[in-house]
Amino acid sequence: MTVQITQVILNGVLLGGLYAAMAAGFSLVWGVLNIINIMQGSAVVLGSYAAYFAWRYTGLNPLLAIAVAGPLLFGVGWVLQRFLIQRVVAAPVLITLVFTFGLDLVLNNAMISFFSADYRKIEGVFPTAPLTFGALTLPVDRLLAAVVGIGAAFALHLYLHKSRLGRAIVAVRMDRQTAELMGVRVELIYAMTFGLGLAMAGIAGCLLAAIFPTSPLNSAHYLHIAFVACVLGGLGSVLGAVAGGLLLGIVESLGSLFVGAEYGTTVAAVILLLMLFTRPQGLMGRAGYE
Amino acid sequence: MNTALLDVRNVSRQFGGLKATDDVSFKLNEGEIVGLIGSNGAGKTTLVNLVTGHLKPSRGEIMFCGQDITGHKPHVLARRGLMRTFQIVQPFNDLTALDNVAAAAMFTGHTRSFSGAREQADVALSNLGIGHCRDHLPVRMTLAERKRLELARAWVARPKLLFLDEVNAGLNSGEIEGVLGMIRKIAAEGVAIVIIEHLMKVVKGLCPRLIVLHRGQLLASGPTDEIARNPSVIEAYLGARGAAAMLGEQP
Amino acid sequence: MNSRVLLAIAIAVIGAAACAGLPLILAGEPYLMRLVTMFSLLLVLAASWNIVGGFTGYPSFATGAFFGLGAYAAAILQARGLDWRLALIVAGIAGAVLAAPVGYGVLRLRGHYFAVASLMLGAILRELTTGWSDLTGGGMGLTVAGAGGDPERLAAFSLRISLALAVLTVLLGAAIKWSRLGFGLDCIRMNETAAAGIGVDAQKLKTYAFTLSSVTSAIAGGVYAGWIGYIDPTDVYDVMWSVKPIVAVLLGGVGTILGPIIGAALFVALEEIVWRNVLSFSSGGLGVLIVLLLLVLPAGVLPSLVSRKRRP
Repeated sequence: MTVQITQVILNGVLLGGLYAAMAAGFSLVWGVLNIINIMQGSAVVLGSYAAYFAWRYTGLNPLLAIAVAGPLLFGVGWVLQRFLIQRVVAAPVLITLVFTFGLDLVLNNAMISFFSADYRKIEGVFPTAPLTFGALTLPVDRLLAAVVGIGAAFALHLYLHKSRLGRAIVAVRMDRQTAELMGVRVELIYAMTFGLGLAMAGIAGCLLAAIFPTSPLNSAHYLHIAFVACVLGGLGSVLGAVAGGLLLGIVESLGSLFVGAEYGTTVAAVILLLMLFTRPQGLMGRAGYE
Repeated sequence: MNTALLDVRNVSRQFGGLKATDDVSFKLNEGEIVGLIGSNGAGKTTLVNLVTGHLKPSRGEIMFCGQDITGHKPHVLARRGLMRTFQIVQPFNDLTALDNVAAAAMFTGHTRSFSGAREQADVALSNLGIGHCRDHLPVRMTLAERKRLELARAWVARPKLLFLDEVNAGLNSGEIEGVLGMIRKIAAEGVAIVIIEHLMKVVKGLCPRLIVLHRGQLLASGPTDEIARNPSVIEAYLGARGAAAMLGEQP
Repeated sequence: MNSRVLLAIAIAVIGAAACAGLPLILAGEPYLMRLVTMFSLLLVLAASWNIVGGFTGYPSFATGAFFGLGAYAAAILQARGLDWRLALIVAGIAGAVLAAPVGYGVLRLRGHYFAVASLMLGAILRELTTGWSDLTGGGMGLTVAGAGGDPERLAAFSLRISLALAVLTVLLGAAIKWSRLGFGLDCIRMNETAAAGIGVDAQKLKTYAFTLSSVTSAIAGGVYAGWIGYIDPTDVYDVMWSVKPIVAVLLGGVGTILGPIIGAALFVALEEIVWRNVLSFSSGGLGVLIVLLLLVLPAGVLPSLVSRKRRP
């Protein structure tokens, strides 16, 4: 019995590595621009398609496709923010949410139009035999994806704290007005941040494509995951998104054992509400960030 | 035995590792005017938030009119007669001055009809000298008028105890005199007042008694003259000039 | 207030006339009847959303969740033989029963947290509905008995009842807005902390608003189920049932009485005229509409509550 539970938790940790990648960029955008990017899920799916088509036409390993999807989605994010989102970035929550919802509709439907809603699956890139440690099994694709996912999130975290531009982003997140007074070009930072956010989503999409079938119909689910992982971990903290992602993965995995996999959103929502009511700042966040 | 109007007992409030309020106790009687002073960050506004229900104490109790109000919500306390004004005024921006005050009259339970609330609001506005602002939106009012609006909103609720948080911030000396006159008028009706204030001349002119907070703790409490002579208060907050100003002497 | 009484009477009279006359005028025009029925349902949802999103300022994405709940409640009850009238009433009650506790919890959140939590509500209900297939037919859906009769009668009947519901919901919104409850909600919208400081029990009032809004949304779902005759989770719990009402009210003017009416009319007109021609991309077209709308006309066609001087 303990072996089964341990296996389930292990599965959850692997899943959580993916979730961390999905949530990290989302958390950054939310913390810096104070925008919930409803496009997050569709951006992840777009990244998955990039990986899928790269594999189909060149045989590229999806984990390596992050070098393609990342910059691609960065560019998309930059353009969207600079020319569209910037216009509503200071508007009330209702407006920004509906706005990004509108953008998401366009992106999602464009993907359905171009790629159809059929599921696409990458096959044969990873060995199918899992690694085994005693009675525990570790599928190779999930293990690698989780490692890359958490690695990408850490890379983002390091970038934010070690590079000049990264530190400017953090400054804007902490206090936009002061950063502006100190010469930081906030519009540039916003575009940069949104680009990074979508880039992370694209990377997460590549990782997902390595394991799961891809379809635009999944985008809402990914949005929910990003949101819950963010809140669990604490807003405005990339490491928090990692912590939240891991926690969510484990809870979802355990939940799937006890109530069945088809109640994933419900389980995630329950733990979300529990967290919001007991420790609203999340595992690692600072209280007062809304 | 006379029950104190407000009895704050060993109230503490912690934020993570920081003790914003540390074991503070004091009493207030009906009709008293007390000054709450201390340097920035001493915990004055936090204390007011704790008593008025915007924050819950980590420890301690608060008694109002003999009843335990610890942790009660602000709207409940407002209806019981515990009101406060905010350091940065918080009017309802889409409502006229009249309706701003009428809202308070209605929701603190003194009337259930719009017309009754507006009548009471008219009285409150003229009592506070801003009857002419009746149909103005807050954005059209001067800061001094908006401060009086906030006072009117608190007054119309017929409070027993009123907390004023830096009501004079941003006003010139003429406007301050006006506000002080209003406060004396309110106090004359028997309302107990706790005023957070930085200006020593205001404190001296208005408050026979002072409470001094320092780093979240109660540093001293007592008659104003005594406080002005208290060495630890002078060292922590007043300084020699401040103390002299309070005593009306030359430094 | 004189002008208010006039407005309310005008709405009631025009609405009653429409309910009586339109099904007759439009008899033999199924396309138009369908259009007006969709308009009416959208109006119910828009006016419902307006209570929470407009009057109270809480950006709710839960309208669709209760719409779906009502649809299933009505469908399940009718499948068990309950008369459609009672089924609608019970659907409304079901909305209230879920909304009160859920609302009480979710309304403690603000801004973004509230919005996304409300958004997830529909997804949760969809999962639970799909999973509880013994009761709901799961992913295969449910056929709905409805009021019966031949398709023409059913179409006329559905038009009539959805129009009536729309009129009632708009009048409910007006009644709330002009009441003490509406005054309190307005204060909450403008400044919740200050409102609490003057005695407004924000939690209670918000919950009332949320519950009332959910009841009318749920009944709309029940009407829809009877009209369409067959429902499944993907259809009635579609997030678009939450988003379209918001866009409609944004078009017409948030927090006003006439806003939902004008907005719903505009929305349905736009949706039909423009996108019947671009069938496969219609949702994408809606996305484009939203983006354009918010860039160009953030205050809607009518001036919205934001810049309006208010007399409660």
